[in-house]
Amino acid sequence: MNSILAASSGLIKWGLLGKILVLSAGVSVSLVVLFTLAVNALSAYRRQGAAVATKTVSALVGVVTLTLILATLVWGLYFIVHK
Amino acid sequence: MHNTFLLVLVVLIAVGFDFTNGFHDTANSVAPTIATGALRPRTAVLMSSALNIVGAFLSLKVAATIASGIVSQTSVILPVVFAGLTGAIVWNVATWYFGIPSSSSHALIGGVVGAMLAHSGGSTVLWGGLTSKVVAPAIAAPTFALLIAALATTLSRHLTSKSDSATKSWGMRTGQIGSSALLSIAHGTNDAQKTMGIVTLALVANGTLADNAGTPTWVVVMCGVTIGMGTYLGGWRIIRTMGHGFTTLSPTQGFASQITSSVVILSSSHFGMPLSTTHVAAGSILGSGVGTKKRSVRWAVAARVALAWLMTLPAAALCGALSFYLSHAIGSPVGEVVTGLLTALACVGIVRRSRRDRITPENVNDEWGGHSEAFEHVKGHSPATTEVSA
Repeated sequence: MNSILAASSGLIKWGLLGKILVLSAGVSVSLVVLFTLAVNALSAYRRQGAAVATKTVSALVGVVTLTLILATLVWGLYFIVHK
Repeated sequence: MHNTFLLVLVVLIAVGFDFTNGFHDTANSVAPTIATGALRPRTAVLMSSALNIVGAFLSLKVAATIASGIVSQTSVILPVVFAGLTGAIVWNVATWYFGIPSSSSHALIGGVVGAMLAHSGGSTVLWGGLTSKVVAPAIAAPTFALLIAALATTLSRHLTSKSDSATKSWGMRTGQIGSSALLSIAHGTNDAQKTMGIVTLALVANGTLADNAGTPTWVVVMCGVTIGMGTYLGGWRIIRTMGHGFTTLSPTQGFASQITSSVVILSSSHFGMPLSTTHVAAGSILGSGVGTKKRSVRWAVAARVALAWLMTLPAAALCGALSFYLSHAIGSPVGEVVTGLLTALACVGIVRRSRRDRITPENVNDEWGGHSEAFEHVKGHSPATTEVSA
């Protein structure tokens, strides 16, 4: 595997493709999940009223903040390792 | 070195290509939005058209890369650029007729490479650049998009399993409008720049611009507006294939596929890698089908489209080479005028033929198989029997 990567590295920018994959996957999946949770919150509000909606919104805020914290931690780690 | 008449011809034919690019690629931005009924067809293409123009002004990174690294810039002459563009136009219009979402970028690159090969042989084509900038992204782009969209659709499906379907459908359709807008901007950012790059290449080849000069503002405005106009007219045949041919899209799938397409295109633009927006959009739509519970994808349609993708580069190269030989045999610039007229005649002929079974905003959402899904017309194969694998 390593030899294939090494032999093709002159023609194929593996690093760049990897960056695009990681960035795209992270951002796309996060956006879709966050939007879906927001739709869920709205659905819960329509069905069961404010109490459940508040719970769902709290969960949404929790997921967003945790994701951001994790993302910045990974970013920070990458920054420290590569500096 | 300076040949103003020929340069004007090249700019005109580049505008023609840009128009077909917008026309051909409307589907990339709006097909899922139209297929799920999130927006009316006309409204969707109007919004997409306006945002394509906006996108064209946002970044010039891809324009800088498309003009270099694939063919030796010092060997490019105007007749080569002209022939390359005619090859790309012919391929774009032919694939539009068959409803095939093929890559306009690959048609453009193929046309220029073919004309270059006819002009000066293989030594002036940068094969390494062609592999790293065209072949590798052509494999990577739809694969990435398919995997990410499948994951996003699966997650979204599981997360909304307890939501009421009316709210879910309304919410996702609303999200689709936003994601379609984002995708249109991404398309404008990525695709209008390709023609900008080619016009810049022609200006450099003519000595009007210095080597490595930036893209002039008039080129940016011209390309942005032209691609917007092409987008507004809407390539309904391809919108139909993208919206209904690969899979039957739900609003959740449409939203996930469009978000994935926009993010993949914008991140590749950010890194200056020109991807085919068509490959990304088609990969995302397929991925959204894979992400459903029944894995509902019409693989036969996908396989035919993939075959067309494989053919795009060599076929456009052949058209570009033939165009160059014809112009060269007649002599410049009369040869270019004749070739340009023949290209226009061929396009008009194809458009007239397409009127036998017109796809319009009114019938674009008809059930798949209800029209002569042109590229499925193989003897003994009825379009209505196209399978959706469970």
